[in-house]
Amino acid sequence: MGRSPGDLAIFVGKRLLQLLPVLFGIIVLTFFFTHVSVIDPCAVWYPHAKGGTLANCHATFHRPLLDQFAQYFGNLLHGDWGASQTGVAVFPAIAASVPATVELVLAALFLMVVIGIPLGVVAAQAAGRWKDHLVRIFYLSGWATPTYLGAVLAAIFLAPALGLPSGGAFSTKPPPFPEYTHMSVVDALLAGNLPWVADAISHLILPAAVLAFINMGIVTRMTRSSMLEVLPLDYVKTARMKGLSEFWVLYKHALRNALITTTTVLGVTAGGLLAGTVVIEKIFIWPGVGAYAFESITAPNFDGTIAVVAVFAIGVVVANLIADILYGVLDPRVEWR
Amino acid sequence: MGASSPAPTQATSAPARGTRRLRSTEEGIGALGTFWRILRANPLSLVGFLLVAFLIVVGVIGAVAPRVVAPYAPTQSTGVFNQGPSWAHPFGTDGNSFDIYSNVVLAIPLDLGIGLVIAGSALLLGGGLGLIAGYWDRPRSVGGAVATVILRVTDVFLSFPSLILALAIGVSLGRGVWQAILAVSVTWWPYYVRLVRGEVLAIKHLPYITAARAAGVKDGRIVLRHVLRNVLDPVLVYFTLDIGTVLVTFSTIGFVAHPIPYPGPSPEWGSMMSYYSAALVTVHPWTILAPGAAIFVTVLAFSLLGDGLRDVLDPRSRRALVRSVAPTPPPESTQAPDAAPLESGGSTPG
Amino acid sequence: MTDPVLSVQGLSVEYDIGAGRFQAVTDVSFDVTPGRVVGIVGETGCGKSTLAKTIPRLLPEPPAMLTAGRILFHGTDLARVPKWKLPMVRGTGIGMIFQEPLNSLNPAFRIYDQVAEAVRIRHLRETGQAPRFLPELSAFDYSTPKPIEKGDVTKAFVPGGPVAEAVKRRTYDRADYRREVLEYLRLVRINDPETILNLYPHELSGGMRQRIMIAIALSGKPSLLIADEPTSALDVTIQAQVLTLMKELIDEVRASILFISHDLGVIAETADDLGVMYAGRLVEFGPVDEVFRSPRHPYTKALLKAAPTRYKSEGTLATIAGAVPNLSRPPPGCRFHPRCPIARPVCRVEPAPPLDPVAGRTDHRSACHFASEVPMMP
Repeated sequence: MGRSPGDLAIFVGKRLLQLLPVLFGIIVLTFFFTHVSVIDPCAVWYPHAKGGTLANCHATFHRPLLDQFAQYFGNLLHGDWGASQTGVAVFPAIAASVPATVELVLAALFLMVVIGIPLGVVAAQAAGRWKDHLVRIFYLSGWATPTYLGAVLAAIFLAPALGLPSGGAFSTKPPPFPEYTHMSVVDALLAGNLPWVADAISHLILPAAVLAFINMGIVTRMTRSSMLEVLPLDYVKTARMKGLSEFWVLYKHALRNALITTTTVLGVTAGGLLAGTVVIEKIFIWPGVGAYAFESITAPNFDGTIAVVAVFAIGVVVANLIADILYGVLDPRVEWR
Repeated sequence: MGASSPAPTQATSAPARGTRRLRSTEEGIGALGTFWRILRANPLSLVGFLLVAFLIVVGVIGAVAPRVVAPYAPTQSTGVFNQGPSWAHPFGTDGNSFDIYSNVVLAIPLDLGIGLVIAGSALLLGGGLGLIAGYWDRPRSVGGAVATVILRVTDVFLSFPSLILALAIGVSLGRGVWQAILAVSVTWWPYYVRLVRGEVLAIKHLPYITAARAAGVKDGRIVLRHVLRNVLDPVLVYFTLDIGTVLVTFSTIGFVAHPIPYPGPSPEWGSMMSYYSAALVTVHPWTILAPGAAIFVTVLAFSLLGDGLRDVLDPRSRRALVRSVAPTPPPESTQAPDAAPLESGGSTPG
Repeated sequence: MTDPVLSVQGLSVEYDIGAGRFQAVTDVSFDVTPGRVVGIVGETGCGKSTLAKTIPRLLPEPPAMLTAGRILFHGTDLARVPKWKLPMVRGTGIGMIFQEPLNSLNPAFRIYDQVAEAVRIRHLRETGQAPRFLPELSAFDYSTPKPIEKGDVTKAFVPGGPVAEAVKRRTYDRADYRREVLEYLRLVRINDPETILNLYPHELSGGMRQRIMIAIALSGKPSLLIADEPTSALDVTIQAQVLTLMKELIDEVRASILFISHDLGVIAETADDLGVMYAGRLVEFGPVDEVFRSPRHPYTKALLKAAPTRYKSEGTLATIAGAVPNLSRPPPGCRFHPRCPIARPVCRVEPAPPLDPVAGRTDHRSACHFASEVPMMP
C-alpha cells in the first residue's frame, strides 16, 4: 500500500521540487514579457522629466535585456525583490498583503463549498427537471458576470441594501488592536474583541460572496457531473437497501465518492479565484495582493509585477498540490508512490 | 446517441463497441438530427442556441450594414445629453449625447469577432500542439522528446494566472485591438493543449486505431480521419464555453488597460464599461449597465449552449446520462478507462 | 403463519425512454411463503431484475413507472407507500444482495464501517430510536432455532454469548458493535474476520466482497431477502463457494428469499418454488421439483431442454428458434407465440393467457392455453 505518511511526504516533496523550475520559467517569462512590451519605460514613468532623472533611468533601463535580467536575477537570489519606481520595496509590500488575499480566497472557497456543492447534488438528483435548470441558470449567471461589473454592482447597490460596508477590511484603518497575521477576522479573534470580529466579517462577506458567485460554476457543474456518474452505481443501491434515508444516501455515500473527481478542478478554481481578486480587491478596497497587482501592472512596476505573478503562480501550484493530496485522501485506491 | 433504447435484444447499428462510438461518414447527415434532439432535450440549451444565432446575425448585419440595426453612428451627436432609457434611445444617452444602444449593438461584431479570433487561434495552436503531444508521444522517440518539451512549456503557462499575464501584456502593449488580442491569445492556448492531448490519449489505444496502424495506414491519415473526428466532440463543447470566457476576460482587460479607444468609431463593451466608470453608476446607471448586460447576455448564451452540448457530447457526461436511464446494463461489458480530459469549466473569467 | 411475506399482484412496470414506452414487467403475480425460497429464472432482458428492484422501490421513478399492481409486504402495499417512508422498510424489512461485487460496496469506506452501519440502523430501530415500518413486526431473531419441519435437516444459527446478551439488553457500545460485525462476518464463513475489518473493498476479492454483501444484508435481519443474481458476476469456482454458503445460510436463517438468476442449475439447487419469466411476464410458477419434472409451459420445457446436461460432444445443443421480442412493441396475445412449437391462432389474440392452475394441482400455475399438451411436446 503506497499510502503511508512517508509516501505522502515524498510525494509532496517531489511536487514542491518541481515547483522550482516552473517558478524559474515564470520569472523569466514575465520579465521578458513586461520588459519587451513596454518599449520605453522611462518615457512612461517620467514623461516630463529631463536631465538627471531621465539619464539615471536610461542608464538602468536602456541596457541590453539580458544584462538587465542578470542583474535582476542576481538581486533576487540575494533576497532583494526590487522596488517600485517610487522606491517602495516589493517584498514587504507583498508580504503584508498576501494574508489578506488568502483570507478572502478562503472565505470565497468556503462559500463555494457550502453553497455550490449541495446545489450540484440537488441538480444531479433532479437531472433534467426544473430544479436542475434553475441551478444551471444560477451558476451560469455567475460565470457570465464580468468581475468588475458584479463587484461594482455589489459595492454600490447591494452593500447599502444589506447594510454592509462597501470597502476596506475594517471600519477604521488601522484597527485598534495589533495585526499579527494581517488577516482581519483572525486578528480580531486573537484580540478577543468580538464586536470587531463582527465588523471584520461584515467587511469580508460581500467581496467573498461576489468572488464565490462568479466562480461557483465550476464546482457546481463538476459536482453535478460526478454525482450523475455515481448515482446509478450499485453501492448507492446498497446504501438505500440498508435503510438509510435519501439524505444520508446522497450526502454520505454518493457525495463522498463524487467529491473525488470534484477535487480535480480545485486547481482551476484557485486560478480563477486568484485572478478575480485583482479586480475585487481594487473595488472593495481590500488590502490584498490583488490590489497590489493592479497597481503594479498599471504603473508599471516591473519588479512588483514579476513578484506578484510569481506569488500567484505559487498559489496555483500549491492549490493543485492540495487538490492532489485531497484526491488521494478521499480515494483509498490511490497510491502515492 | 444519447438515451438510446436499452434492451440488448434490439439490433444496434453502432459500427464499433467500446467507450466511444467512432463516427463514420454516413452519420454526418444524421448529426443534424442529433443536434436538434440535443437542443430539444434541454430547453436551456435551445435558448442559448437561439440567442447565439441571433447575436451572430445581428453582428454580421451590424458589420455590413450598420444602419439597419443601429439608428445612430457610435460617435454621432444626438443632441440629447444624459437621458435615461426612452423610446428614442432604448439604452439612453451619455454625457457626449452618444446613443448608447447604437454603441452596444455596433460593438457586437467586434466583441464576437474578438472572442472567436482568440478562442479560435488558441484552439488551432493549442489543439495542434496537443495533437502532436498526444499522438506522437511514444517513449524514446523524437516525437516523445517534442511532446515532453511541449508539455513542460504548457505546464509553465498553465501555472500562470493568465489574467494577470494578459493584463500585464495588455497594459504594456498599449492601445490597439490587435495588441490586446495578442495579449490574451498568448495566455489562452495552454488549456487546449491539455484538453486535446487528454482526448487523444483516451482513444489512441483503442483497437480500431491500433488495427489501422497495423494495417499500415499512415499516421497523418489516421490523425486526420479518425483521431480528429472523435476528439472534436469535447473540444467543440469547450470551445463554445470558451468564447464566453474569452469575452469576460477581454472585457476585464478593456477595463484595466483601455486598448480600444472609447468613444470612437469601434465601440467595445469592456471599453465602454471602463469609460462610464463606477462613479456614474449611481447617477446614470444605464451607461454602465447596458454594455455590462450585453456582456452578460452574450456570455450566458454561449454558456447555456455549451453547457447543454456538454451534457450530450462529453463522453463522461453522456455515459452518466445513459446509465441513469437504462434498466439493464449496456452490452459493452468492458469500459476502457478514460485518460480523464480536464472536465473543468474551462479557464475562469477574470 | 400462512400469510405470505410478499404477495405481488398484477405488477406492471414500464420505462419511459423518450421514444416510447418499454414494458419491462407486465402483470406479474406470485407469493413468497414464509421460510421458503422462491427462485425467478429467465433470460437476460426478461424483466426479472426489474422485478427484483421494483419490490423495494429501488428504481428511479421518472424513467421507471409502476403502472399497475400491488406489492403486498406483510399485507401493506409498498406501491402506495410514500417515498419518504420507504427507507423504513428497507434493511430490517427487506434486504437485498446485488450482482456486481465490484460496485456493490462503497469504495471509500472500510469494511467495518459498512457492516457496522447496517447493524447500527437495525439497532436504532429495535430500540425505538428510529421509526420502524411495521412496528409490530420485529426483526427475525436468529438466536432462536428455526422450527424443524418434517424431513428437514437443519442447523439452527444461535449466536451465543455476548452478542445475544447485548441484543437482549438493547444497549450497544463500541465493543458490542465490533463483536456483532465479527459475528456476521463469521456467519458468511469468513475466517479471521478481524484481519479484514480495516481493509477497503478494492483490497478484497470478488468472492469476499459478495460474502460481505450477504453479511450486510443479513445483519438487518430482514424477513425478506432479495438476491438479484448474486453469483452471476463471479467466476465458476467462487460461484460454487458462495452458492454453498447461501444454501447453508438458507437453512440457518429464517428469512424468506427471493432468488433471481438466469442459471437454472443454481435455482434448482437453492429454490423451493420456481417462477419462469419471459418477455416481462411470469409464464410458469410452482414447486421447483414439480416444474422441473413436469413443465407445463412450452418456454419452460424448451429452456430445460436447452440446458446442457452432458459434457460430451453428443450432437447439437438444443436451442429455441427466434429471438426475444422488442418490449417497446410486444407481440399481441401470448408473447411467446412467435417461437412456440404448439402455437395456435388463439395464442395471437389478446388478452394474454392468464397464469392459471394446471389441471389437478393448486400450487402449479402456467400461462398457456394448452398447458396440458406441453408434456407431449418433443
